[in-house]
Amino acid sequence: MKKNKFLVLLCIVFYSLLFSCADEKQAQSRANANHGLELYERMCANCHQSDGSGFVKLYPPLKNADYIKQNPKAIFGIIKNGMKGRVIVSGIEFNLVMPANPKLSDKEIEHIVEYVQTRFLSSSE
Amino acid sequence: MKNKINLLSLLLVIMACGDNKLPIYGDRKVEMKTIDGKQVADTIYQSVPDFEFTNQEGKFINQNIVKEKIYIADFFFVTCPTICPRMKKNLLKVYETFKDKPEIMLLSHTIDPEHDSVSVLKDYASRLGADSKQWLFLTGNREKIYALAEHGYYATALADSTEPGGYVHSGGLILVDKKRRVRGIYDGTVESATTQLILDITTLMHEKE
Repeated sequence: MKKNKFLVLLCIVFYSLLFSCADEKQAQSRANANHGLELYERMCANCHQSDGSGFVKLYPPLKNADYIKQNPKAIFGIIKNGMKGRVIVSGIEFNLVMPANPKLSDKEIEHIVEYVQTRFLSSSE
Repeated sequence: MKNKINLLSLLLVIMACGDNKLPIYGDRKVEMKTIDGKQVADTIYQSVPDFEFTNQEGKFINQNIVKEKIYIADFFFVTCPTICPRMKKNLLKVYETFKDKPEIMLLSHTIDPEHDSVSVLKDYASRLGADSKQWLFLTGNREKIYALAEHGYYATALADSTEPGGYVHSGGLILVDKKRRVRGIYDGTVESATTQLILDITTLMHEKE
């Protein structure tokens, strides 16, 4: 009987810890997403637009962009180091220089990448 | 989209029927003239100084290109990562609204002539979908561009290595009348200001001297 009570208690503690970790993770994830949104609006939306649609043949779209889907690991480097030369995104050729962002930390870039992937590249979008 | 344009056209006509007189920017002086033997006071308004630049087709142009035209001037640079894309998006709306009106022109001056060569501007204009007869992208001597911005259009244009892109400039869209007088300055980064600019262009088109 005592053994059973102990097991029940152990289970309660275990699940409490598990849920509290999950809550913490969710809260952290929400904070990262908000930070990503704030950085995206400040650093990226001028050209790529808030809805990720891009602008004419000057600034490529991010929303459902095949280029990013095919090169998911490239976004981090493009944001950090900029990009020069011709690139075809969703069937349209773009050729404007994207400037590097030396003032952004790696963490900040990660948050932008996470925001772009969740907001513009998830299958529900 | 078409419905929106039709609605805007209707709004423009309604606004144009009003008796709005746009302000005239800058200094003015009164000169006495003799007309039919009588002394008459004539107000002389400040106007945009003469200029000479090269457009996206590599052609030299001067102030004669805007003779008897209403035009919108702005200052930008192709690699600008901050306000220029928003300005161009709003300016494109102005261009599309008056696309079939040859008396309206747009003059976009680069403030980074070292990078924004004729070929760079031509490519930029073509990607924007701008017709080179109505929307001119101008390059030339940097100091002359900056001086014209400051003294002709009440705008700011400066090189500043601490700024993103290396330049600091104002985001104004400057409305100029047929006598080369500045009649309005609008925040080119704000959609509502651009809508006001479109309304004021129409007012100016119907203005009687």
